[in-house]
Amino acid sequence: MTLKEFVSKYRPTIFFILSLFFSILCLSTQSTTKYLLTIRSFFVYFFSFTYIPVYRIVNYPLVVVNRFVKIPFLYEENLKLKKVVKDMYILKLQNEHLIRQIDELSTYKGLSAIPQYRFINCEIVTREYKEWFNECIVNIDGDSELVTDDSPVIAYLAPDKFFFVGRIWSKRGNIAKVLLVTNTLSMIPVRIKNKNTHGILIGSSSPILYIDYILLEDDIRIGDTVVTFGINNLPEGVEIGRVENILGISDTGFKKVSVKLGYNINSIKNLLILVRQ
Amino acid sequence: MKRLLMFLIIIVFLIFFDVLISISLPYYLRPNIWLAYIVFVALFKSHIESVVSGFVLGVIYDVIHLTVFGVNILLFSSVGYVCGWLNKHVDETLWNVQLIVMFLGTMVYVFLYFLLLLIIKISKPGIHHLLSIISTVVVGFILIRLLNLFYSQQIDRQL
Repeated sequence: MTLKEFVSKYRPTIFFILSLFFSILCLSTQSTTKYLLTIRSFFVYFFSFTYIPVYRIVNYPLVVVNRFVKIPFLYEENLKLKKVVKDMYILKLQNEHLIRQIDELSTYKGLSAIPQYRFINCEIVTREYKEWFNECIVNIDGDSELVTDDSPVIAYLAPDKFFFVGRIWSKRGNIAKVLLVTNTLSMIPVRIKNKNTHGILIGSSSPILYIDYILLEDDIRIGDTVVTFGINNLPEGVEIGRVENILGISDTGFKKVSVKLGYNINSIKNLLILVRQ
Repeated sequence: MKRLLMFLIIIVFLIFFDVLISISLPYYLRPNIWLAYIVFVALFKSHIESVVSGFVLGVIYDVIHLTVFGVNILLFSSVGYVCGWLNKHVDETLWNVQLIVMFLGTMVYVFLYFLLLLIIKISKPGIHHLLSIISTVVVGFILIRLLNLFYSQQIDRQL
């Protein structure tokens, strides 16, 4: 039997073996080839609304077309972002240079060094409903070794608002328990913004907090902004909320007011931990 | 050229009906109409054509369904190859032959699919996957009958 006869006789089998070989090749390169995964991701982005891309082709052809039309705009945006990144890098260098200059000048004049703070991202992973206003568990994303007990936890609300949420209660590895500002165990020194009025902010397991130990002669009014008072680990001037009501004189013999939080404590998810460098 | 055009039209129809079925039925009840077409080609065309169509439909299926690429190439080619052996050995015009071959093709597909699930672990095998055998056999048989009708009319016209 010649080769030609063999091929013509067993053509289906030969083609079947070739297709098997091809499919096994595809299956084996599936997890190893990142380029193949990239192509697949590309397909998923453009065609897959749900898991079957044909849905999009049949049901949402305009969406697919729009996505393709977006490509040049995305490219332009990418170029602009690259330029912004370059500018930011220059600004970063300038900032570093200025900080170095300040350090040198403060050393020269014998001043104490300004504490350098840094933010570390964290995300709430568990928040028990029974302890909703008392504590939450966060997953620290980044250099968790810098985080210590009592490190302040801050919520960032776009575009430029920072609110004090609580403090790190305990930490194990990347997981930390946060003592929320609304916890009855939480007592932090606070002051009224732009005024020389100080007190202790006490939680009540609800969105309403109380400031106690305010001197009777101190000026405090409804609507005043409450900020942190920089003692111990606490940063100075981080906003907490606003004075909601003047409650009069408490059992301690000091003035007492109620404070409403400046943010929605139920919706906090991504937080920042403030650490000293 | 005409055959290729016919093949492309059938593929478009298969995609269209596949979408309709995907929208209307849960995944464990969806009939595999691609399989029915491969069985039809295996019975009415030739052995080599069934393997080739299995391969081509497998590629298309893998691309548009975004499953693990290569799985359906293997499955459809295997079904085409196994069912293709029956070509010219059975009377393909008999309804019971068509039903049995459709059932055989589905069993080959399901068996190989479960084997692949065990080997490459793309998802967990479940008993509810077997429910699709019934729908595939029933819908596939109806589709083969319709294609048979269409195919025989075409042959009559050519004669």
